[in-house]
Amino acid sequence: MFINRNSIKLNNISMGQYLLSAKYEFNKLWGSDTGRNLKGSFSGTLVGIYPKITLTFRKLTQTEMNLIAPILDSGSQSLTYYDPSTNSNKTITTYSGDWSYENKQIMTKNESFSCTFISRERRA
Amino acid sequence: MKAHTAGFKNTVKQLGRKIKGIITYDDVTLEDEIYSITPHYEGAILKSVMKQLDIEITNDIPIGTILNCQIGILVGNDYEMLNFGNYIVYNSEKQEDKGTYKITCYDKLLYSMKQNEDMHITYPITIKNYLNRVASMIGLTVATTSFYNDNMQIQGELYLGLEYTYRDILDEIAQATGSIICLNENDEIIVKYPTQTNDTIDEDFLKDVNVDFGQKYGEINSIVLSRSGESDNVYLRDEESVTENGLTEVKIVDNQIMNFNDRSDYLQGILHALDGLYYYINDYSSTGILYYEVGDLYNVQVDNKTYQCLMLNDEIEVTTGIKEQVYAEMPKETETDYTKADKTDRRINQTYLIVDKQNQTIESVISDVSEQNQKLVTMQQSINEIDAKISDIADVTTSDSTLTGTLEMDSINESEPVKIEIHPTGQQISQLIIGIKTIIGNNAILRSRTLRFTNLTTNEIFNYILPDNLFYHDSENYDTFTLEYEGQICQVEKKCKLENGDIVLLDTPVITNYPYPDIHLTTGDYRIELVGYTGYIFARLMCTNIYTEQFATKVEVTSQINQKANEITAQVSETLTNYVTETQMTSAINIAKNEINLNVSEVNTKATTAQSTANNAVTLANNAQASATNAQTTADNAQDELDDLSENLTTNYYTKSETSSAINQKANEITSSVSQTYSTKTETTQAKNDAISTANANTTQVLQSYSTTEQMNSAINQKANEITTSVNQVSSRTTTAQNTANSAVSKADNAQDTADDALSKANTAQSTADTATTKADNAQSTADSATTKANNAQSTANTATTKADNAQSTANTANTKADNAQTTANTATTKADNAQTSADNAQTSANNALQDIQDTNNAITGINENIDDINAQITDLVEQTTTFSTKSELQQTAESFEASITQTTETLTRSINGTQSEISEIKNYIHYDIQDTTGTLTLGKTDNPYTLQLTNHELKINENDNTVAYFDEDSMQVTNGVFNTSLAIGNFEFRPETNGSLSFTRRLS
Repeated sequence: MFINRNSIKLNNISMGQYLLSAKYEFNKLWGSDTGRNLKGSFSGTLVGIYPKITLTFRKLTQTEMNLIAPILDSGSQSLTYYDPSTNSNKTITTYSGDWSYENKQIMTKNESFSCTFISRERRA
Repeated sequence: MKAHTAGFKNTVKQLGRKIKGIITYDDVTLEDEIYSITPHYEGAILKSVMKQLDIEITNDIPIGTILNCQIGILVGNDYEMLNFGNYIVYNSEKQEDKGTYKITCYDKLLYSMKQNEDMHITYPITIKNYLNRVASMIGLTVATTSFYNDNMQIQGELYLGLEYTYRDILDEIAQATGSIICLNENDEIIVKYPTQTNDTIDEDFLKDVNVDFGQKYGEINSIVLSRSGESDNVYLRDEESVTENGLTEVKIVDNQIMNFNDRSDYLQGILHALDGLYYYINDYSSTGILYYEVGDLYNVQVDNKTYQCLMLNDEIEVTTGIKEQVYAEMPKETETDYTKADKTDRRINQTYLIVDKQNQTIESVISDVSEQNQKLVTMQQSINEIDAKISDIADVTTSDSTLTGTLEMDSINESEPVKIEIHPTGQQISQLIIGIKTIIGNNAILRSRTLRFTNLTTNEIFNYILPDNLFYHDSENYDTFTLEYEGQICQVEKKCKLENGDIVLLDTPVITNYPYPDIHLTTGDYRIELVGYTGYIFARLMCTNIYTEQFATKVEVTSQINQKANEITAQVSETLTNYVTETQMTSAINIAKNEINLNVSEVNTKATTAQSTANNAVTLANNAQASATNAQTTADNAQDELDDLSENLTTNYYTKSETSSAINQKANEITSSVSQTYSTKTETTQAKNDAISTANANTTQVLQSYSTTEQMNSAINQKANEITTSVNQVSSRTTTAQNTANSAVSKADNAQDTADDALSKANTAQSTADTATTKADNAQSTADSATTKANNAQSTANTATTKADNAQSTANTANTKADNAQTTANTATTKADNAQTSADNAQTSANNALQDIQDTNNAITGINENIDDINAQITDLVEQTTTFSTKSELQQTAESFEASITQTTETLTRSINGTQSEISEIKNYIHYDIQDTTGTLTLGKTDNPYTLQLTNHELKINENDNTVAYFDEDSMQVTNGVFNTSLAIGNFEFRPETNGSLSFTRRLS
């Protein structure tokens, strides 16, 4: 993979060591005027492209979980990621989706789990 | 049209356009805080247009703030922003449900929304300068330097004192100049005319709903100025356009600037401004155009049809997209009755009504001027008077002329000719045929110079022989016959003479008067002719009309005219509340005014009188009260006196019956006494006798005392008189007492009446006093209430002042705190920057440390695995110990185990140290990633450009991270290959020979 996983930082904490994988999505949001014009062509305003990054964490220790969980629980996060369109690292403010983890046995580590981070702002 | 690039127009309609809205004021720039921006306006031709801006935003913007609005599209890499101008924040409303503010703004034409004041203008003034003055009054300037009718003059004050705002005045200027008045981007007033942009938008710009293009309005080809309830119209039309396109008129009603009789001078400019303007009525939703401005003419192409549109109403709603709503409605259609309208007010015949709002006058004029009549009715109404004049000058003559010597005139009244003028036009009007060297002989034929009036109705003929020949010399010089009734003139002016058969000019014209002829024409149609001649005839005759139908003579006609005029006057006067003349009218008004004044004076007088009466009533009431008190006292005194008198009478005097009773008693006493003395008749008789005897004796004795009978009688009479006197005295005293009592009763009655009157007056006074008291109480209450309110107001004011002071203090404190906060913030910013730098450094160090920790963790993992191995060995040892049975064996074993552990620990320590160094050394040559699912193993020293990578399905040889050769599945790929000895493919091989050649041979098995 050409993306260095160490490029992903949550609240300025490098997530590389905790991650199994990262999924990058770049979603388009269309304006309220979007539709077909009188000519029949699809027209509208592209409000912006909003990056959505899904991080899959490996099994985390309790200490690691104590570090990560508050970040996932907070209303917004600062997320740094490698943006292929600009070939540079970008830092965005995100809100996160629900997350959960599972302990199959009483062990020192939980099972792997995922959480989604969506940019509050459109990509510049 | 707002300036924009072709790229803008191309981009704004494209899918995926990106928009931006920016609000700026002072040093503040708002963009992300904006939820929506909606600039919009509603315009019309001949009006001023004020633009509005609605904003929904997370931040409040103080009312009165002047902000700028820009909306743009991303064109290429940059946003191309269009300036939508500056606006004043007029209202801010918090939307609690959304937590946003709805801000309402207007452009600076908002300043014009106030009532006009004295602009200190020296009149007359041009409209251009007037507009400049209006602009300066509202703090604006005018950018347009030239426009239609800009040099037209305003003669005097038009709006001062009237409830016209400056906006109203701008509207009327827009009408007078045929324009739209609005502001440009620099907040300057511009006088704008419909401007052809030559821009066309197509269906790409239109949404697929709500697209309506209706009927065509125009071309405008008529301007109508109307006043007086749209009854007084002047107009100017482009007749050619009217014929070609039909009539489309624009009517301007009751414009104060164009309210006077020079208003038709404005028509040309306004028609020039609007002539030929047309547009299609439209109502459509757009995906966003943005760059059109009010008054722009543009084209919309739909279904291969092109509609020219005029931008009048626009609303651009910018949220996450753009929705632009555009419409232009059909102007209110007017239909002027042009048969009752005129092209100018400067005609001989006038009918107009001027409403001068400034001077509060209404002037109406109706005039009808013809050759024969001049009728004029004027009426000027002001706040104080009505000045009406009616004049009627009628000419009851009819005139006509001819050069042929014959003319016909109809409806001639029975009269004498008013005026006749005759002169030759070439042919001599002479009794002799003038020829060269004419010799008058016996056979000469004399021709008559007859002027003949033939009544064609009655076939009567009236001839008149001209008194002299009329010669013709040239078109400038000829003899003229004149008959003029008014001056009783009958004359011939001779400029020519016959000399030796030729017509020659006289040195000076000669006028000869003749007796005035008697030509009585009868009623009918007439032919007037110079019998046998051609020539010029001018005739003015009395004609038949409404004045002459009943009266024949001029005097009668004049009289009738006067009568008719008087009738008209009377009728008008009757209408005008039965006043005949202006003087009377004025007088009547003055009388009415005086009456009003008198009424007012009377009211004042009555009020004063009422007040005085009330005061007098109070005084009278007081007096009445005093009088009543006095009367009561008097009555009491009288009663007392009466009581005293009654008591006195009761005590000291008897009544008549009592007196009679008393007398009777005395008599009875006497009788009783007598009875006691003489009990029976017999006794009495005896006694009588005795008495008589005694008496006789006594009498005798008395008689002996009285010498005579007379003396006795006298004595008896004396006693009787004494008794009578006493009785009379009693009676007199009784009568006196009765009179006194009656007098007292009368006085008491009078006193009672007086007291009643006084009581009534007192009651009235009491009522008045009560009313006055009530009013006083009310006044007191009102005063108390006012005082209370004043106190409250004072209290509120004091509170407000206190609050203001507190607010000021708070503001000062806040200001100080803000300054401190600013300082703190600056310091904090500096510290934060430093902290950020430190944090960045720390982050770097942390990352490094984290990497070290990761490495250590990996090492620890290895150690743990070793420990696990050791544990396993220990477990084995423990299991082995169970095979020893003796203590010594156990001891040996334990010692051995301990030694083994010690040795193992030492070995392990060495092993760990060795392992760590080995691991470090190995990691320089072998790399693999445990988490990497490709299972890549990399061989090669870290700083060596060449590495060998083995994955699950290929083997790669890299040089400087570039793969130069790899094995994939069962094939090898090499970028460049050099084979020194041979290259074998299957059973064949290439081999270089020593002689320099290359052999391709089958390989030996």
